[in-house]
Amino acid sequence: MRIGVFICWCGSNIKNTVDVERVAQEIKKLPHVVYSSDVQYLCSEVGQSEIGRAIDEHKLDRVVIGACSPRMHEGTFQQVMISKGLNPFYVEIANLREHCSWVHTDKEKATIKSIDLVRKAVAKTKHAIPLYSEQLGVNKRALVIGGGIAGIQAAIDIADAGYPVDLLEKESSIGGKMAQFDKTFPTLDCSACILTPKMVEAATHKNITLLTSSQVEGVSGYVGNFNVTIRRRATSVRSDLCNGCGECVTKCPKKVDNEFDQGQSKRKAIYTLFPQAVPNKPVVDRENCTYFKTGKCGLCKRVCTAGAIDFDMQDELVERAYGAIIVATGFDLNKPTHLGEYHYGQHPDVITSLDLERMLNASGPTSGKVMRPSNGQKPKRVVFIQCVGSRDKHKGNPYCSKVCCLYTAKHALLLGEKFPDMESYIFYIDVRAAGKNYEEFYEKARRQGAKYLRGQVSKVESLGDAENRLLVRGFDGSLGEQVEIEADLVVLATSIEPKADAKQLASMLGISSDQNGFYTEAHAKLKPFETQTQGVYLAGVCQGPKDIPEAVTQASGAAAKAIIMFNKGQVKSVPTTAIVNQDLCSGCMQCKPVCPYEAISKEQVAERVAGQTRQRVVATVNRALCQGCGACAGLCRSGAMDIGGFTSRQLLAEVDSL
Amino acid sequence: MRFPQKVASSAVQAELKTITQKDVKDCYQCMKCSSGCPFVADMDYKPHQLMLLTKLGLFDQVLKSRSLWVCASCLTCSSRCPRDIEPAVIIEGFRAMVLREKSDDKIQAFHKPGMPRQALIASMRKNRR
Amino acid sequence: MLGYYPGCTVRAQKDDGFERESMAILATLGIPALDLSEWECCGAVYPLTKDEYAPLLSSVRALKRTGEENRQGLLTLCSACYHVLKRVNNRMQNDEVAKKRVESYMGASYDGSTKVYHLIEVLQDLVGLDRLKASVVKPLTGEKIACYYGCLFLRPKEVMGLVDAENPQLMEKIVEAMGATAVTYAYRTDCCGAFHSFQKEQLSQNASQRIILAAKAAGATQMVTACPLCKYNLEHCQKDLALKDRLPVRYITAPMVEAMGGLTALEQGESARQTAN
Repeated sequence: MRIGVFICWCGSNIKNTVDVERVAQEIKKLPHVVYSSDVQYLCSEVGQSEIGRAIDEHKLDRVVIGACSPRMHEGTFQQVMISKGLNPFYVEIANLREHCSWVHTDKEKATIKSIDLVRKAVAKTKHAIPLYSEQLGVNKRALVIGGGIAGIQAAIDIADAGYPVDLLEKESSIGGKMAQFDKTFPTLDCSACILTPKMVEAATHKNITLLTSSQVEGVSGYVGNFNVTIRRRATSVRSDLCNGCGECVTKCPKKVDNEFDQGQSKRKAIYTLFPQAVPNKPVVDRENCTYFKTGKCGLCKRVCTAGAIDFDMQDELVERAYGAIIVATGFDLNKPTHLGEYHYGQHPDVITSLDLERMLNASGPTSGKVMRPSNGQKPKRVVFIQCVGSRDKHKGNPYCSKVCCLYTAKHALLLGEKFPDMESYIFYIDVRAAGKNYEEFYEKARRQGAKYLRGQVSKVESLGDAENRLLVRGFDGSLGEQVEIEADLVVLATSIEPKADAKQLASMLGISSDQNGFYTEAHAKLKPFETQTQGVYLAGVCQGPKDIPEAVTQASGAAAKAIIMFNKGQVKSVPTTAIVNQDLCSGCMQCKPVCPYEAISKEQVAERVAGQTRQRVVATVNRALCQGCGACAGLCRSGAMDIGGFTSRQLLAEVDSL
Repeated sequence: MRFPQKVASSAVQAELKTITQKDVKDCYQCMKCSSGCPFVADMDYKPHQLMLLTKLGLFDQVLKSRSLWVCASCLTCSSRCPRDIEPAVIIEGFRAMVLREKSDDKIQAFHKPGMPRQALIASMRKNRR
Repeated sequence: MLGYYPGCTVRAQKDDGFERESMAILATLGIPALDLSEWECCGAVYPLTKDEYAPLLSSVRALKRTGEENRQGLLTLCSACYHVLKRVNNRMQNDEVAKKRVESYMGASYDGSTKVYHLIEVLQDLVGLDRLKASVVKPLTGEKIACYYGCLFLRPKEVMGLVDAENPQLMEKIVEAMGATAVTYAYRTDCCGAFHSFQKEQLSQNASQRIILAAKAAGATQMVTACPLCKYNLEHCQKDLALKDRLPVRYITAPMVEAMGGLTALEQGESARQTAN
């Protein structure tokens, strides 16, 4: 065995605290170490060539690196090994930066610790075994969960690349939150006008299958080979027969609060989500439909000339296989009843921004007229309050919801344009206008007449006067005093939150969410739409609050990842997985229940014992499912289970070396 | 004002922390405390300003301010603060530091007919040690 | 049998009638309450400093005595006392350090088991609003009553918690059970000025005036409250107005007693019940 050791200066990151020369010299004294040096930047091309040269000159067959965390450059050094014809798992990295130079200040002690760390790595590499990736086949079909703008964009991109996509949407129509908006900032494009062409494209694309009124029931499998169970809910309308005439909706006698209009209007028990719905086929809300509750009515069935109403329709469970899954499930806007100081839910004229957005929308509950919900009159004074329930460590969500500063400016601007004699006041803490053209848009709102007051509102309460107005009690930091405004309408910019069932979906997919419930990306900076689970990608607000251009960008990025995988047609498995030594395995199967990824199963092997052929049960690992967590190896009583790259012998050698 | 070369010593800052068990580091000057304070018009430094002064270590300004004695501990600010800082507790901490150091008797001794005695008792608790 | 904690001011201002009316109402509704054998002033404010324990002692003694004298709870009428007693109780239940210090000083232990009641809490939980409504003989139709709780009654909501701290409705429900209309008005959860009426009278005048004016603007014919200091501040800030322009401020028990038939009737009824037993 010929081990080469390379200690990196990492510029000054390691060298300032650790005496790298001394470390290299000390390690040279260990048996089997034939080469040891220190280098300024091992990750650079110069550094990599030096490793390569040393391998050639000194005929090295193992390499030990003392440098930054393997998270940074494990891949880099493994590539060097491969280029020299050595197995990539014959390189071992000792973390002298994050584990040493960055956390200690005492040079002498840090140097001694570094020597220990490298010695440990040398001991480990002596017992290294070669590991090989497998090529797994890929099912070239994608699943996009969520039919909002992010999901639609991702589906279109993958479909344009020539691969089939299933676009799954829980509601009866795609479109998501963008379908509820009136205009979008900063261009003031009509939201539906820019969204509907994409919706139509998704609906008519030959490679996209729309699965509306559907949701994910279960997921199994691994990258390239997912098996998803989808529940197609019974809509009671046969979409193949329905021609979208709408007679059923007109004639239905049952009225229900319309969730699309935020409860500000009524819809029927049989309904289409909104006028531009895609697919434009109505569905029956069985929870509120008179027929389903009492057995009476059924008027829709009688008036339907196409015979499309089918009350006996059942939910259907469908199993499909996919190579990649893109999660684009979006968000919900919080209703701040828990913040009593804003009086939401206690006075009808305190509304959320989405309520106002629906009012502004021409197809909304008031046909585009902004009015006080209490009396239907036009408001003379509107007060907007920012950061309601966001940036709140005490009773709300600690994060910033990102888009509210701009959409409130948009609301003030739209109100100012439509109703010039309406006064708008905006109470804010900070205005965040970081995107392209956002600062100019904010300026436009101010020029239109929106009055910005820097200071958070402490209380909104009823005046108890004849006009049932509200008293908004806030502060203006510039004037330096309390300001009170008698308002007709108060609009709260509430917090963006993940959907209520986000966690449930996360556990089905095997991805994680952060403490706020948003899905976690693999790396905050460099992998913002990949997850820790290979093959599952994120797009849109489900990963964190963002505006429409960012959601679209992320969606195309996630789609690109899926397309790359499909183009390759294969996926490399991660080799640091559990390995069963079947000769030692006793078949007790105690490992099976502890595996969180259900990667272990039984296998029959035949062997000859005492002249006879016997069948024996042993454990076998699906190396594509296995994530190398080590639970099974720790448990195995026979010592038959080991983790590639972290075998028991290696770990014990590390301990013994210290 | 010109910032002094030295801000409040770490001992004094630790004392405030011991009395209040609260930290003003999280304050982002939203001014919600001053928005709802019923007595702000009579204060020289308003609650959010007192929090900023505390954060900057400019304890002298706070200790000399009139606001400490205007605050009635009605807890409106504490119940609304989105950072869980509890300005009322911080202000009480400063009052305690003033009263414990000097036996500055801010109590006038007179009786007001008809006034509930709890007002006298509360005043003594807040203004005197 | 509830233990009754009068509080220094309610007892000293007996002639206001708050105590007498409360006892009459409770007795009529079948909730007897008896003075604790011994009690001291709770201190009127709850110390916000976390490193002193002496101000807690008198409250802990009262809470302890409640259990010792086999009372089902400790009843108080004054918002300030309610605040102090409840917060001290909560501290003793949740703060190990405070509990140890207080107990070692007192030389005795308190297990935190006493429940602190306010009058209107008793009316809601132990009597029930339906029964209350049923006891009305002379509904106060036409009266528009503004209810004022006093800031200490409401905050901090994690400890006080009896009503919604931002939009309390309990007193409103009680006056509506009496047949009156409850009026909503601005500033109703604000502080009246509290102890500033002693030395910085202008502060409490300003604070209370704002509340009174808002109630008047909302059409109130009278205001009710549950704290002697609040009542004093709210009345006193109107002292420069002509009598006819003033908004009457009374204890919550005053309209209740009227609606239930008058103080004499209630007390006679009670003594009749007592002699019958």
